[in-house]
Amino acid sequence: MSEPKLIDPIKNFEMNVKIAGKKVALSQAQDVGITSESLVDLKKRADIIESNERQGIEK
Amino acid sequence: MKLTRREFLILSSTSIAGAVLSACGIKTPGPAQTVENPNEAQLLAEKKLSTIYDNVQLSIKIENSYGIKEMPMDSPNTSVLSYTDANGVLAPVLVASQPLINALPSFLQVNSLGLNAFIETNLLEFFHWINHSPQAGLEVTEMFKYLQFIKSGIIEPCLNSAPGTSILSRAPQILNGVNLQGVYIFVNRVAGLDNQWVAVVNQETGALVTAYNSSLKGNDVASAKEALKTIAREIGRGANLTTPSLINQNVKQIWQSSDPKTFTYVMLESLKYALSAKMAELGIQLKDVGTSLAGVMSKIPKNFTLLAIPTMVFCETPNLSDTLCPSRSNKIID
Repeated sequence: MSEPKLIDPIKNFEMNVKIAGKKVALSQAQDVGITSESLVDLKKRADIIESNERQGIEK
Repeated sequence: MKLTRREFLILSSTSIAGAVLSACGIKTPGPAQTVENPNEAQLLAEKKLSTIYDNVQLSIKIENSYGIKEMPMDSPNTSVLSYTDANGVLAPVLVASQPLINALPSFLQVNSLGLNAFIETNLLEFFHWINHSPQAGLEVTEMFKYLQFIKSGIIEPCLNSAPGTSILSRAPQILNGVNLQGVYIFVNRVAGLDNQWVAVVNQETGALVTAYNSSLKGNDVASAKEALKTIAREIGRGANLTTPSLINQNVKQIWQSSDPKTFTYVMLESLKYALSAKMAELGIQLKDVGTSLAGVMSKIPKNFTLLAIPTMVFCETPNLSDTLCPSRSNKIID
């Protein structure tokens, strides 16, 4: 696995999405053993974070 | 009936969802929920499949992003799940109709690139733990070899209290608004702290959540410090040391079984997890599925078309008439 290892996949999820991207952040959150419902919630949160990040860059 | 490969896969993969939904009574009202007669169940299942297929046929033809060419055959029907010994690994396979078998060699040869792309794109999504396979093998046989390694190289030594192993137990909990499953964390550092492997397993079902080399930091650099941090992090989440005698009997049975077919259960549990997540995204309740997808599948008539291809892998396709992927916003592939 050559992806960066993040500080804490759950507590720092928002930061991890910003640093490593949605895919890596979600993958490492899954490694902790989150429920499928929480995976869905985190996906939605990640989409919002990335969308906000993109809007911030465009501004 | 002439099917393109895409249509074939859509038909096959949606069959699983269709079967699951039918078995759960989610989408089929009335008698379908209580029918016990296998013949009637088969008729209902075929009717459901027919409806799904009609919906797919109604959809607009989208460019095949994997470049997979048309399957040179008529309707691929009866299929059953069986096992084959490939390279010393017992793996579940689809036993398909004879026309399908006849067509497969040339089809696979012609479409090898497209199929590889398909597998790489989709298997990782549905079987999360293969992300961490050191060989990064994505073929089914490679996946089962990896499972064998997890079993004999991590979990079994832990259950046998081998020197250099330990087991942590973490109860279900909510952390920062995120629901964590109750899990056992099997730790094997027999090869040293620079090569500490962990396997995370659901406490109730025995399903494999993940398995990885916890000594690795980014860029594949291993260190004892990183290995210890992994354990410290789990203890910080409330995990405690436990002993093999306190492990759930169900978990022991699955991971100490000498029957290689047990791995099918692990695969199905992974599939169930991914399906549950997808259904939750779509707002469909899966609470009636039962304790395992395997249990649901065992009720499906044997001659019902069933492919071990993850359901809804084509949800990147906008298709308003498809109840499983009603809109582009519900895509599963980025």
